[in-house]
Amino acid sequence: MPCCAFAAFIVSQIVLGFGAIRRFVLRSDDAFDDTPSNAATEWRLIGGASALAAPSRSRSGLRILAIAASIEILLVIGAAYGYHLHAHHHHHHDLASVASAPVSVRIR
Amino acid sequence: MAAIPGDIAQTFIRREATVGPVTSARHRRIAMIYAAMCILGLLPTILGMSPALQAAGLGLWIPGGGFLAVGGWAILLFPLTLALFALAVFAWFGAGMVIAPIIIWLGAALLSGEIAGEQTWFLAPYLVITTVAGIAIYAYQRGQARKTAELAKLEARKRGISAAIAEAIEVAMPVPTIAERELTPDDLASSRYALDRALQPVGQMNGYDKVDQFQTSALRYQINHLGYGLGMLQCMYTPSFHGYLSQAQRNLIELYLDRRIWGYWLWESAWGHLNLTDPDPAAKDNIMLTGWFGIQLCTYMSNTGDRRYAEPGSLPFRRNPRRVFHHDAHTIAQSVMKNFLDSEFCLYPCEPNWVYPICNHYGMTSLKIYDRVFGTKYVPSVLDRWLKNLDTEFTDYSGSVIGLRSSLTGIRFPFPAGDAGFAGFENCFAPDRAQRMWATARQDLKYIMKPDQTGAQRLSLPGKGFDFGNYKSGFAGAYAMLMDTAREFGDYEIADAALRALDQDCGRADDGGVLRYSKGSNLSNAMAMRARIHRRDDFRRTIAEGPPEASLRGPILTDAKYPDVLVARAFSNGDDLELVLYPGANPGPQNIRIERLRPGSKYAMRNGSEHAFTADNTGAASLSIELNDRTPIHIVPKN
Repeated sequence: MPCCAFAAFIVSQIVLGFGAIRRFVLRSDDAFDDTPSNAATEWRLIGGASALAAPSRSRSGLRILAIAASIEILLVIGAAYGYHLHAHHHHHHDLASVASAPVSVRIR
Repeated sequence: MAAIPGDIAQTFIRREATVGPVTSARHRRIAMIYAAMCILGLLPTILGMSPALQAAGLGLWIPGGGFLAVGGWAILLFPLTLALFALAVFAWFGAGMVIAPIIIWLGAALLSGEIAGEQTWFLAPYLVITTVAGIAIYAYQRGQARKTAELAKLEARKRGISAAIAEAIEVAMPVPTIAERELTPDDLASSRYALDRALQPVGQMNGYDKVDQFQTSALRYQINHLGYGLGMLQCMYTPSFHGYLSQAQRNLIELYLDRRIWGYWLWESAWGHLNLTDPDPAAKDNIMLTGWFGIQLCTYMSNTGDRRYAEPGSLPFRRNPRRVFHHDAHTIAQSVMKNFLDSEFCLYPCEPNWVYPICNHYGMTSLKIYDRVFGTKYVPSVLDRWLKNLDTEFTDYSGSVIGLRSSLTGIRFPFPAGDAGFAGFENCFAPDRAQRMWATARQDLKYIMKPDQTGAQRLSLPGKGFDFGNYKSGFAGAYAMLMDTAREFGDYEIADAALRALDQDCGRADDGGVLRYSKGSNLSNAMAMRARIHRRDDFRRTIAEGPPEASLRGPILTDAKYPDVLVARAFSNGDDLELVLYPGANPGPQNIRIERLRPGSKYAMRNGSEHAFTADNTGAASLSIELNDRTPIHIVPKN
């Protein structure tokens, strides 16, 4: 159960992270600001309402794509580096095991 | 029976402590746990154990404290951990993520042990202890200053409470009679704001603020408040009109079952209750759903006599095609009641671990209306204990109810709360106490009454304000709430002052026959709509009395086109039907349908002239009417 909880925590951080990105990077309209009018309340069921300006899908789409690509690149670099460290660590661990030395195998 | 000011004043808080027995026990428990952590944390240093254990130990004193022991560049991780810990506490508060601060604190301690070198920084223990002591001293001094200020406020309130209550009763306008109940054109325009949103196909949410689903801007609260406004309107002005007004309320109830609305609980249940397998939204905690939704459900059923939501499983909370949490009005109320009984505080949490007294007021109000609709005795069986705990565990030294408290730690968390906000709810189940709350709040409101440019009194709150419905600046929600409460207690002077403030500061817009406040969130607009139509005791009567009995059996208007036909008044004495209609679009002929007439009987429709008609064998009749501005219609049996 603690593992599940930890997983839930990690996932939640991702969810919150995306929320933060949406607000602060993509400048989603739910960011804190002093905007005087609330666009949501301009909506009306029956016509005559002032049309709400639809956000530019192409621009926001490009922004999302750019950020997603950056994250993906970082993840790939991180994974490659992690694999490199992992392999290196195992190499030393094997040496320590062979020597059967009762010393710390922590390599710094 | 009229309340006597002296009697109400006697119930005013007299105790000298604000920490009740349950809170005290929580404080003791958390203090013991922390003391144990400190002792455990200091032992490796005292006993000269390994640097890793020393660093991890110091990390138990304060989040990130172990990094000081690591020394070097790792010292920079100390403030970073504190910042992360603050973020984790915010996640704990905002979304019930109990595990977040624990993971950050213990995780940082473990990490510092992991990266510790051959020796620790010799100054680290002193710095950690000094920092902890500094924080403790600061917290104590701040607590004492707050206590002193609150006690001074209590003394001032004690001196003036009897006069304040007498004055509040003196200025209160009488409860309006049925003959006086009719929506004005402004009221109708305001109600269209709510109807527009509620009459969308279920699942569409145009005109809602979509920010987050955890805290106050969540869609669920917007839906609830739209429902409360429409429910009160129906009960007080148009109990004999069902048609699109009932449809709108049903749409809101059914929208509430959408996973996008209640899905937050899947997360909160996981990271707050560590429950990944059975995140039932109406089981443990979550009074922010059950209490709020219960009022909405029961108001609809009370107004209309429609019991569809009392049918077993009539409210399916569908997690996925395979997993559905089947609920109905009974299980929602039972969840509130069971949690009240199971909680040591009696009041119980919204998000896991956080007890908000305001949501518990919604919960008690939901039981009040449930008791009336279904003949149960939930409120009498739990109210005394609930109020006692409210007074002893959730009230500050000044006599005001606090914003929230952690049920795990007993910590009181700063969250805005005002006596006015609680008073309206208490008027439904503890009216004397509510009168005292309102009288107290009213005294505070006098400080923000200012003349406007025309010399008329208006409320004037300082600063930029904060709209809880979208987290932007603005006063729409605050003014609407104050207006709503003032109207509930018949204080129309303050209510009018709040309405002026709303109209002058919050971007009033009248276009297309809809009245809204462009500087307010959807939540604030929904509250403003209800405040506008509110008259004395309307909320209490909606909850505790319901519509006139005759309207539940007499003829009803069941079909009228929205927004072409707007209904400003609809009452029945059991035999007749009295309507006041307005054209919502263009003047001209409109069709309406009346039901619950006596089958095959003759009726007269009086509207300046008289037209005879006969009800069909189901007791229904379709009529054509000419709508030009305000159109009163009276349908009476014809002998």
